[in-house]
Amino acid sequence: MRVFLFFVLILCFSCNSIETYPEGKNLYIKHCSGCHGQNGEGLQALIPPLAKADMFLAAGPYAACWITKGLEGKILVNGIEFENAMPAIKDLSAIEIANILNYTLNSWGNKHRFIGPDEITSITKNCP
Amino acid sequence: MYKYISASILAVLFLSCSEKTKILPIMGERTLVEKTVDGKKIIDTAFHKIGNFNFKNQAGKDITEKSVDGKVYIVDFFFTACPSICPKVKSQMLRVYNKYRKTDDFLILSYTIDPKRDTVGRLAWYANKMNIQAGNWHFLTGKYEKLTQMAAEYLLSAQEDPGAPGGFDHSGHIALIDRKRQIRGFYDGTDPEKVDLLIEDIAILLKEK
Repeated sequence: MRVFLFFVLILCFSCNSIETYPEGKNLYIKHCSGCHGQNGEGLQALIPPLAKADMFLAAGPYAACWITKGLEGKILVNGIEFENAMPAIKDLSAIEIANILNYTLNSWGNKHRFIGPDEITSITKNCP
Repeated sequence: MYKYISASILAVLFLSCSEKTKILPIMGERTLVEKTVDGKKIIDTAFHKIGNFNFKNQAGKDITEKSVDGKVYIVDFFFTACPSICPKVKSQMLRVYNKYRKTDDFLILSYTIDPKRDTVGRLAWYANKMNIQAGNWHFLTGKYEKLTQMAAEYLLSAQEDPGAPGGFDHSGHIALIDRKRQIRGFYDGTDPEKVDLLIEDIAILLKEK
């Protein structure tokens, strides 16, 4: 019985420390967190949040185009208008973009299905 | 013997209990000046002091050295189209703003280094988007040469640089200025822990009269 409890405890603690997308987190911190915040909170009405952001969750894998091409003009996120341009982030591979999206789409209360690098490649080929 | 030991323990305890008040250093170059006091010539140290200035804020109002007279203030250089460190610094400055927004003798001055784009109207748009009600946070614009000269006075780096993200290279540091327009500290505006320290140090300067 004691041994069993011991294992249960170990499982509990190890579950907490496992990051599902550690690589995505590192890339997010490096390339995105300066503007979108450490926890995807954005900045007032200047920079849109990613956490629980309707537009971002609706776009899902198509957000890959915003990363590779940048974004200009007015957008509406959770009912708030944002208009500061987002610069393109060059030189990211499909795997890196998939990692970033899987991390951000499954953090801070966000939930999304897994996105593979092949899907990213076919989307970014056809970015507007 | 025991008397000595217990006495020294008491002394150590006493000294460690008496909390030292932290005094912030005065930054910048010092110069020696000759003064005449009571008919005698003496040599005294003059500290680096921010000179006179005149810029327009987001409401189109003139902000000069008189606006900061006798006040504690913090300074940063930024530009509204900045894609790199500015949002991070601004979100940290927002913490300072929220902490001291009701303090009458405290101000925040954010000078742009991109006056071509950052007109009074653009700064008003930015302040509005940041949810800053005019009052003690002034976003300032003016002539580019005057702005970079101002940055040098605050010992902060800011200049046009086509190679930098957004076209301007600048430091993410925040300078803390006292009631006599002397620089008392620099804080990395991208580091929340350094900004915690800034919030504490502002309280120290507010107590100086």
